[in-house]
Amino acid sequence: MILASSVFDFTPTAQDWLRILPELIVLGAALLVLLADLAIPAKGRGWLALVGLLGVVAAAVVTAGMWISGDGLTAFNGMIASDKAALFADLVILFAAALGLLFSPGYVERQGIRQHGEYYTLLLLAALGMMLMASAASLLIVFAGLEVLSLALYILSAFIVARPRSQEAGMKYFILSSFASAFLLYGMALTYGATGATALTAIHDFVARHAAPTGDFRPLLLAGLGLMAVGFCFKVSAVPFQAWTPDVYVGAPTSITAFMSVGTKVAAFVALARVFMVALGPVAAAWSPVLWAVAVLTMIGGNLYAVTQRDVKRMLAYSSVANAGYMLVAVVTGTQQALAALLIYLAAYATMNLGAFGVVLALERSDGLGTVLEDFNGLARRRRGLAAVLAVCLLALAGIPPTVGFAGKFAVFYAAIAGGRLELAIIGVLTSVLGMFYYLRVIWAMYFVEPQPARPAPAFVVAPAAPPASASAAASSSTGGVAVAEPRIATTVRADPAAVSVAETPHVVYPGTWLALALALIATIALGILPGALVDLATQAAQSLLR
Amino acid sequence: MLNLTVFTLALPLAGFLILGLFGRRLPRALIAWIGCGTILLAFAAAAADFISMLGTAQTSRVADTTFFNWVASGSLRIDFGLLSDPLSAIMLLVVTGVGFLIHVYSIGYMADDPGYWRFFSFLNFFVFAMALLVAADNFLFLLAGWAGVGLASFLLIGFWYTRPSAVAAATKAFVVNVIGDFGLLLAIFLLFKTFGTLGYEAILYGNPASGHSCIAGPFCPAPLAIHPAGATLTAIALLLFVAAAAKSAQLPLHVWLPDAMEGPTPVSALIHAATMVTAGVYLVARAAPLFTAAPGVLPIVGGVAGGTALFAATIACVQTDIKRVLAYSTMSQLGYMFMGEAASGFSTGIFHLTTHAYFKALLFMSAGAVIHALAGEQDMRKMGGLRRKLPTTFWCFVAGGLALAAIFPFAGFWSKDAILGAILERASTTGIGGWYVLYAVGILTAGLTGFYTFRLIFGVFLGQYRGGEIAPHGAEHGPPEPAAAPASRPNGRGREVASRRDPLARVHDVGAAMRWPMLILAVLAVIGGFYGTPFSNWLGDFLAPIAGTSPDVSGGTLALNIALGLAAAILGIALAWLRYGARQASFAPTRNPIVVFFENRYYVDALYDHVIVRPLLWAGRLLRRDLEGVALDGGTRGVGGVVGWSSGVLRALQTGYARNYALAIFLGATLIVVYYVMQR
Repeated sequence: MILASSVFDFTPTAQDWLRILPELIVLGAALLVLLADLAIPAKGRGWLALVGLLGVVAAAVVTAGMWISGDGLTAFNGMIASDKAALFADLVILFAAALGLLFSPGYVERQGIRQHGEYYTLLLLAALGMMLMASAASLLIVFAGLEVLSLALYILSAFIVARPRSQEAGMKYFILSSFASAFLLYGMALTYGATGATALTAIHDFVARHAAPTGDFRPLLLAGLGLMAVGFCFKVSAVPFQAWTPDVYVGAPTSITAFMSVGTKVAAFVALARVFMVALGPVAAAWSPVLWAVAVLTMIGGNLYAVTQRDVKRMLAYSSVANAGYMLVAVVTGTQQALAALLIYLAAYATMNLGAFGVVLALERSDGLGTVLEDFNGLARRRRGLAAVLAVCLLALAGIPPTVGFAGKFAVFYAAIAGGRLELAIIGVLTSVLGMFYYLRVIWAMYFVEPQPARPAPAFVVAPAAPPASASAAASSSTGGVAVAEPRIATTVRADPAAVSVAETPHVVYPGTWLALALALIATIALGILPGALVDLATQAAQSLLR
Repeated sequence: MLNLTVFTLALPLAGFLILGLFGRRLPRALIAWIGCGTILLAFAAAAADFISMLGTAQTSRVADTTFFNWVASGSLRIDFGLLSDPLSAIMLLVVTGVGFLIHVYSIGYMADDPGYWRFFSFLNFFVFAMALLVAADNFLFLLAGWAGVGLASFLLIGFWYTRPSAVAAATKAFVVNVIGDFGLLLAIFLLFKTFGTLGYEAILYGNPASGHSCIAGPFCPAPLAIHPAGATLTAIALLLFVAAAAKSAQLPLHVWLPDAMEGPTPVSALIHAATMVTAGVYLVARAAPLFTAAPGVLPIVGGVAGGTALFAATIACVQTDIKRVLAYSTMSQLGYMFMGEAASGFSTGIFHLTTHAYFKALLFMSAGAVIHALAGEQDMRKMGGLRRKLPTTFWCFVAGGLALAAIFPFAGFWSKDAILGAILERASTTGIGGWYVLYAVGILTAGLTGFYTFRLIFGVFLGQYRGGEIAPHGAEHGPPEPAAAPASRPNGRGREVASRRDPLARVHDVGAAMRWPMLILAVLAVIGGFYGTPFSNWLGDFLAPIAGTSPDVSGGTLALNIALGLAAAILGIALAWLRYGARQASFAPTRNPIVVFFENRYYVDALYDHVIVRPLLWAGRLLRRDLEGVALDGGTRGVGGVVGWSSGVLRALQTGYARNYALAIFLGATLIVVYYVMQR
């Protein structure tokens, strides 16, 4: 086989390494953090985030440089792409990673996480896996990237040792994700069997030459892409493969949730676009009905689930399910315009979702409480800045102009109509109406509802069965081990209803968190008022992907 | 020609930002100055535009300034530009002019309210959004203003957020408005797909001066070669009308407007009578070429509008809350505006919009003055005999009422006459029975309007006072702002203090801040119709380049129309006099099934509750409990508790619900595989 012999002859050139320079920088930063962890005294571990941040910024600068002057070719014998779609995805992932790193120091300390070095290293490695997955030009790299990011995220999800919910999240994510990865891998193997290639361009050429003209798809190919669809749908949390999402998003450290809800989506959707929209584009008739059904189910199911949630973190998890549905609309549409719309939506989703999770993170207390809807009552009067950021981000998620969320929804639905998928656009628009309801409910609570008097911890939080709130607060701060600047607020006695409510969060919001929130806020508003640049970049990226 | 429209937008926006960010710390006087001053300057800018427009030749009264490029990528190109043309000039004058008067009125009305700064910042935001809506030069930024207006309305209806009813009303308004927003969004997608652009000029008007062509409509001087299918135009126009109906409370999307009266009375005056609800009327007039070109749409508009006018008028006849009477009256009058537009009298709709803005704002302000004087009482069964105590309010109310009832020569007479004339003309030229029916509905509604308006006036101001002692202070106000204590709103209900000397001893008429806006509007309600009489229709000619010429009504048709309209209104007033004016008004409950049917608002709200709201909630609960809660979650909550105190995390997980999640994945995968097998 020609392919095999060329692999064995292959020697990487300097060009090959240059084309994966952003990934290399992130990898270097991860290793550097691990080393620095040994050198920095325990008290100054927060600085590790800065080391990681510098790496991420450097990688972003290099990515931007490659956008301007890179050759856009593949590296390592057609395994990894450095086209503009890859660079676009890299930039969004790096943005998410940077904000995740900025969110972390304050949150990590409050939650009593002591393994700073491992935490930041794993976060950077997860970003590396996402970047790899998004730049994959071969099924093998798709899978390799997926595993790198997933392994890191399993551990990160379970990182709060003192919190059973976090352990549960990591374990659940691990088991279910392995299960889904098996489907994906099996699907890839069958696709390889059907087409004789793992390189995406080769698959594209094969199906374009053999399958598409006759319309006679081999069962092997159908089974392969069906199983791959299952794997991808799990990763992007589409219904009916979404069940893990709320549990993991709620249980994981919120800084990780913020980062992974965005980064995983970007990586998985760009890889999905590369595999389905591009490589398997000629046989779209074979896969689009399945993804069509999944998209419809996801839009309806995600929004319906979200409407009934009382916990804001859980609501945001289901909102990410619903958003996956809108993105799938773009995938099903399959035109170049839809691909650009998908990228626009991903970028929009990154800014507004990071902002929303960032506020939740800033409010969450050391015992993991403080994210129920009632805790947001009257927030605007206690924490005006946080309430304002959350309000803007939720309005953006609801798709109200002039925020970036509106630009994203506009792009996706417009592309769907232009691409002849009117029904998907209508379903999307109608389910968005449902979405308004639960986003606005939080805004309503923050601005228009009186804070409630003290009450016991909400019944359904997975705290030790039902001991009095005082015991749980005491337990968590003792097991947490780190002195938290937080009075025993949950111990408030009923006798004094005017006393501090359970929702009160006297802890300090760190400057890094503020900076990250400000970045997310500015991006959400600025890209909404002037989305021209974003649309331009996304269009170029889509062109590079479809040649 | 001047185009200072940007100031009409920027000043209220600046006011909103300043008050929103720093209002809490500013003294009240300064808040009032900023709040009203920005709107007055915005009005000045709008007036300057208007005057310079009058000095320009009629054919070139368009100034379109592009400020920046929102998106330019491939075929997609949308600019942010502001348009100054006759239609937007009239709308901006009404929005900022009436808006300014209501701001001044609010200084007095909200004087005791702890949320003073919040109120003015929201009001400024509203004026900004509304100005954007009417001044945008393309459909996309129209949508931005459209959504902004909805948001402002949500904030202001729910202003007294401690009242559960206010919260519910605000939510209802928002949901209905969002339905309209998405109708508009879909219309925009279709417009873009069909025409490849969203600018008004390119789609609707063309520009003779620059030689630009346009695509749709009869006013188009140089039509392009694109001829979209009639069905597409119909779909676009219908979607636009869905949006208009939601914003302007037409059937069946009307349910939010009466409930919106939960907001403070200046809000009712500004948003739910004078400006916001007119956005739909504006949209139809703006898209007049489209509506005219789209086959079969205008009769639908007419049918919906006529139905709404009659429906709302009948309900208004049996309401006892004075603000609700006015709310239903607003719905009914909006129906008139759409009826005029449906009969191709687009400028008559705008004409009635302007006069209605004067007299309805006046009526709401007067109603607010009554409510203010009676410490929050809104039920007319507990009023009566207030004429001597509130003379200014009484005469203002009468002026507004005569205008609403369309009595010669008050403002409403001319505009309603123009609308009904257009319908009658349409009926006699086409000879289609449907237009005659619509005309009959219009006349019947005119009679009902006279009845409910004067039932209200007689019930409130004549006869004997039927209420109790008035609490010493305050109107319908919110709780103290940094709410430390549970809300104890000083309202009419705390009048157990029994001192039966004169229950109205403490009642006083309005102060200066409230009186002057009312007097100005009262003057406008009297003379505001003279710019559109059938003898010299200045407004119709002014709007003709945009909205087309209205059907020409003259001779016998004109005389017949005036006679019928006046007769119906006077008959209605006479009935009201017999029932409520000549003797002590009685509002005793009745068993009359028709009245009960009207009192229950035709059971539309109940129907929606049973058919839409409850099933949705039920489905959501079912999903949460049975799918998430049991089938998929395996009861995370229950098991989670066990996990917590037994620390058997791993064991519980592996034997517990993670399995169910995996099962769901497996089932999904099986479904997909089965699908492929079935395919073969």
